[in-house]
Amino acid sequence: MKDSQGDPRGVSRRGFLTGTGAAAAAVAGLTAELAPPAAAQPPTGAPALGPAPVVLELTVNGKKVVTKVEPRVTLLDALRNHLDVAGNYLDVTGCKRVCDRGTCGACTVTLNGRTVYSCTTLALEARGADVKTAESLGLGRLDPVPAAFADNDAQQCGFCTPGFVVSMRAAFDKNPNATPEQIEAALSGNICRCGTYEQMRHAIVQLCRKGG
Amino acid sequence: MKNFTYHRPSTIQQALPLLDEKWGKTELLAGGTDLLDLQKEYVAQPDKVVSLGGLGGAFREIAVQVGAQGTVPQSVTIGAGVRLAEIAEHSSLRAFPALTSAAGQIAGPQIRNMGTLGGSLCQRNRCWYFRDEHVHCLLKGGRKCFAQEGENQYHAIFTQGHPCVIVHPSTLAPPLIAFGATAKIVGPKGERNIPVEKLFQAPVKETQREHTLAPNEILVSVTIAPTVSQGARFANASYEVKQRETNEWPLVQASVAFLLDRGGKLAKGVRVVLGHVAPTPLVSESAAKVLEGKEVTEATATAAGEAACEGVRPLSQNEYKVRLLKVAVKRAALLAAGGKPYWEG
Amino acid sequence: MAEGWPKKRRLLGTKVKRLDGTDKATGRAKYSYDINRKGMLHGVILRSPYAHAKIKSLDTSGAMKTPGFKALVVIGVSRNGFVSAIDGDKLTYRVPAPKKGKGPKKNEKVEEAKDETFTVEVKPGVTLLSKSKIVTLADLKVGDPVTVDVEQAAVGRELFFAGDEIAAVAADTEEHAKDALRAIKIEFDQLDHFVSEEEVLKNPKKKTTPGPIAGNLDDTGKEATKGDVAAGFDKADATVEGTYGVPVISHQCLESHGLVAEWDAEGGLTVWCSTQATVSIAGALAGRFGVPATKVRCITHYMGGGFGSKFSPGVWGVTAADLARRAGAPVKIMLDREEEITTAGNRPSASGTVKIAGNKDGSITAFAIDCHGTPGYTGGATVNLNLLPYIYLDAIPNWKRSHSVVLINAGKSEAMRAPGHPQNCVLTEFAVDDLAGKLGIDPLVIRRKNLPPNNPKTTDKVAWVARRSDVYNEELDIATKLAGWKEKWHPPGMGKAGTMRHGIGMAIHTWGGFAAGGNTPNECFVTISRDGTATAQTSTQDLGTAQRTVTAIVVAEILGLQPTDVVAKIGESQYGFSSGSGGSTTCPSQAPAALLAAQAARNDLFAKVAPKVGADPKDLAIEPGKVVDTKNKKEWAWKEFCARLGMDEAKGKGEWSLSISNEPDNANISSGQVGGVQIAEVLVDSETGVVHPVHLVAVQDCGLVVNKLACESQVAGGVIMGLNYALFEECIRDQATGRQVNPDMEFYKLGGIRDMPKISVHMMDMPERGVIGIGEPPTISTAAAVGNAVFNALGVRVPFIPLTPKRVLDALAKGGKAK
Repeated sequence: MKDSQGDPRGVSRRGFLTGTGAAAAAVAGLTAELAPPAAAQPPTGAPALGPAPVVLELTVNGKKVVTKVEPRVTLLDALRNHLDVAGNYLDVTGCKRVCDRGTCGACTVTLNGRTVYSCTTLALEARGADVKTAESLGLGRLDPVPAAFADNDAQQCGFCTPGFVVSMRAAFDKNPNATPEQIEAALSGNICRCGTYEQMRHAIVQLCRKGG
Repeated sequence: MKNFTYHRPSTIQQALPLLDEKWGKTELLAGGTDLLDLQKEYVAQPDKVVSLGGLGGAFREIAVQVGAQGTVPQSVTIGAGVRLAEIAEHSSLRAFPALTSAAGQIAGPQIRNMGTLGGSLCQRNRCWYFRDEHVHCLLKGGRKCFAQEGENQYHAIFTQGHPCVIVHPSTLAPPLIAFGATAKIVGPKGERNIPVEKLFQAPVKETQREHTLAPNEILVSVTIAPTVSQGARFANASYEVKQRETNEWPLVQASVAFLLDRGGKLAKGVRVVLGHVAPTPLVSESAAKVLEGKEVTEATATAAGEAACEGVRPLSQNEYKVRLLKVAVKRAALLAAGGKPYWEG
Repeated sequence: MAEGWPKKRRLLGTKVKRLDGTDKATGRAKYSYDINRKGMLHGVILRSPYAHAKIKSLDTSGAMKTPGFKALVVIGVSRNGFVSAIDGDKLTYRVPAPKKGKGPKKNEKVEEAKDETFTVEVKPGVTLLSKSKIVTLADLKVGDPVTVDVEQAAVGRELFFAGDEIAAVAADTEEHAKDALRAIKIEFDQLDHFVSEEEVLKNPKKKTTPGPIAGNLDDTGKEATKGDVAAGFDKADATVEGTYGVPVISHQCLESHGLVAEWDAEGGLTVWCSTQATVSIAGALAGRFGVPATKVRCITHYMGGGFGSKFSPGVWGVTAADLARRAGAPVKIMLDREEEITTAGNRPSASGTVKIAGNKDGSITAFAIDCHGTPGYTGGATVNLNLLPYIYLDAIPNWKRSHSVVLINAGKSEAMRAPGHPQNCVLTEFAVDDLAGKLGIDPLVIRRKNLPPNNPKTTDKVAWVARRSDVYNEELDIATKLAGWKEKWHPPGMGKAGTMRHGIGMAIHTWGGFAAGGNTPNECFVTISRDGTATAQTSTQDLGTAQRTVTAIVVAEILGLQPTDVVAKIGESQYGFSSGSGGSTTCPSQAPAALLAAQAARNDLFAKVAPKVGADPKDLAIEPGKVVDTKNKKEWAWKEFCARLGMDEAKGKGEWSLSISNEPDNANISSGQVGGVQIAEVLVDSETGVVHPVHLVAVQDCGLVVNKLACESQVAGGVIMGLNYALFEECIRDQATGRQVNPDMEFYKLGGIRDMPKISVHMMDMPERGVIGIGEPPTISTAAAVGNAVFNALGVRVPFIPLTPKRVLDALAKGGKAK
């Protein structure tokens, strides 16, 4: 079967799994990585960062952290998998990787106060930003939102829970007098597989009574 | 994801020279909700990513020219970098519920906090064959559109003349087109302004995108400036049929806009634009014609829905979308006319 | 004789917050996915892009040159073996299984280490080594030791689904590992495939899957009949026939399958694995690598969902351990979402034609079903045929059933929450309501009429079968009252006119929920320290069921403490024996083990301290927070009493299993068999076909409730999983490309909070039956109830789930009711 004839089954013959063309692409990628970034750099005042790891400073849950990441690294992966300059893992666990495509909400963090999917945010886009994960709500006095989740058993396996907690906290921060309907609407970017929504509703009612 | 060099210009002028004349090696990054997905799937493999995150000023602002009287502003210019959540909630946009409700329904809060107007208009399609690295479809240089005879329940129903049957994914495009909005684009040769309608094309090959921007151009803003005579009401609404209320794409969408003279009931200057039914947002002249000069009632709205389906040629699995389109047009027209959602009763 | 559960329950059956709730909600609980070890590498797996292909060539040299590369394995292929056959230019060689050390405990499911056989086509240039010399094929004879180049050995290997594993690499970062993977050059010979069941049924003799069957369709020996079916159909007042079906769905565990593997200097292996069976995982890995089971430790402190799919280390787990061994560093492999959906298991589909007949009084006279389903490229029956016609098995006098297995080129199924039951429930209950519709009777009437009868012969009056009809009737009473059935039910399609159509429907289910079988009982160890701390230790795992809290509640109940006073150490394979969490067996195995352990530790405490306080152990008793001498009317605060242990500590061990629970007098401690009734109320937008569930009532019995809060949450969770099944979920596979088009969370749809109805849970309190598992039953009948509610709303059956706008509108059009 020749490439030029197309493939009746349709799976790419040209993709990386099919040999020479692919290898060339991979090598090209490498070459680019090794090329001095300044070479093709127009004098624009917007210098090239990377492809080698770039120093990145962030405030994570109130703590300044410095790490080094390639430009392609997402904020989620930087927080979970990467090391600080002293060689210790950042070890942030309040954002989980589930869909990794900006649909399920398990990776939800706040970036300068706005909730975002950290899986779909480049770490470099968060340079200098204030990043908060669910862990920030357990430092010192326990925040009422995670407390309400625990009180009402609004969690089972718990893997989606920190993402829901961050979304819900942000909704109450935006409007402390939010109605249960408004809070539910604010959770429409999060998915739970164990099915804890009914218990979440109990938590929401508890929180709405107290103004978040 | 393939690694790349990252640039973060702080002005459009800094950004422009960083772009290429061809697609593929350089990508613009706005909210990232589309580009990063494509990169993770290796469908996009840029060597250079130019972030628009450092741009400020008009690119990130909603500028309003207040009208002499009434509630409809003379013009509103929305920077391409304005986030979806801001569009949904901005007080100056209250006269444009067709747009704000569409923005407020996109995915979930996180996407709306990340995604931008420019990103919504310039995003790539969601076809599951296109987004699978291993499927060599038309838009990736292949010879075949796999949706034509494959799993096409979410694909186009206006397929005549379209070798690729994606649907355009932007839900902001239909209301903006219904408003007759214009897009401001800058490139190496300077600035140009085109109707938003002209921003879109049906791509059929690897070297084309779903929009008509050149690879070295940037969408800067969109301006809405409806001509609304004194005392008239600018009636407009969008209706989307969605299966879920959680991070969901519409199955079909209709945006309807028209003018009602003071105290009058007859729709004038009717625009009906259909979303998620064709490779581009689709202006429905025939639906508009049905409503033009008439009172919008259940009967005329239903007739407009029927008319909107003129020329449909659904695929093997999406006949149902024809029925949905009729309903969406009817409901959007009735909502625009100020009717209560009869379907909720 | 066992002491049993306390007569007066202080904590049991109350609402107790889970002990780790705050740790989870604030994201600080560490799951396997969260484990980072010093110097840890990331592993990724190269997979077949094709549904069916053979490897034509493989060149891994490029991968080894990429930055950060550390190790590579070609999966399914080993280097050293013995020539077992030479046929022309084909060499078959056998690789002996690794030698076992001290094996895993008996009765544990272990991936058996078998000799592996490989066939390679030996072409010019292929490197064969014999006794360290390069040789040609002609130099070899059967029995010769041989080393085959792994890349060559992979050539000709058949791949049976898109996602089938080929090779894996480990590198310093995940990004580098993916780069290395893409630098592997590989060519395939594509082969014909099927991913569509319909296509297989059209070409049943064509073979594209492994195994002994001649084609892809296994329709042998899966039929059964009872009574005179033809007569049953003949004499009935009404007969209906319908074709119904449910799709293949994915477990969609939010924490994907995978583990972190780390070898120590002494050859021991520690894995942090997302599993529902810590002990089995350790045993399986020990067997696979020839390491004594005592030197393999599986840690699962927190676990992000399993639903039946996480009993085995999987190819990924074994590969991670293999890469770690080769690289001399810890390796993490967690599947990405696409891998999770396409390769880590699924719930098989089922569809079939059902004919059912009955009389105006509601009695069902005959039932016939011919169904099929797919488990993927390999695997057995996809529905539990022995259960059909499901709840009505015993009541219907005449029935006939047959089932065939359709093999396709897709990832294989794994057990999923009540395997076979949700499928059977939909296939049966849809037909039952269609019959009720035709007879013009209330579905409640037909259900009451055909309930499984009480078995008066059983000697054990606690037993389910002795009173199941009564229990179901009581559950129907409660459920219909909670749902407002009497006021809300109307004949199908005859609700209030309007665009939004109202409907209400019901379905019923059953499940086991006994203690785990097998010869090795589940173990729990309780230690009381002189500072009053009670520590409970068990290797069982908490999948999200609040099992950790169950252990603490039981121990606290016996020792007069609060659950928060108990240190519950769970989720490590070396904490004793526990069975995998499947079949809803965990709570009925573990709660009694904790009960016996706590009672034994208490008795040990009494025995050790009584002499020091001048009491007779038999006069001592525990009251909340204290120990009392009932004879001498003396009492000690708990801590004060425990302090008398001095340098000693009090210990107790508890053991529980199905056979122990079957001993006389133990039925009150744990038993099994439950029933449940669910009623769904929906509004269907008749113009758009969008189904809005409004209210879902679930009435469930489960014996003695340990933690009411978590129990209700389990039931509501099961219901929501059933709602997703009814409305949204489906693995959509494209026959042309052989690939799943929605291996994601975008078009593989799951509902969010706003998509879910109000859920009312009612637990039947039956403490005399002891503890019974609850994980599975509540998800069984939901989809059937929702489907029946939609039928009630529209007067038209939407025969296949999920009930998408497309399916609803298509059914309305077909039924002549489209707007």
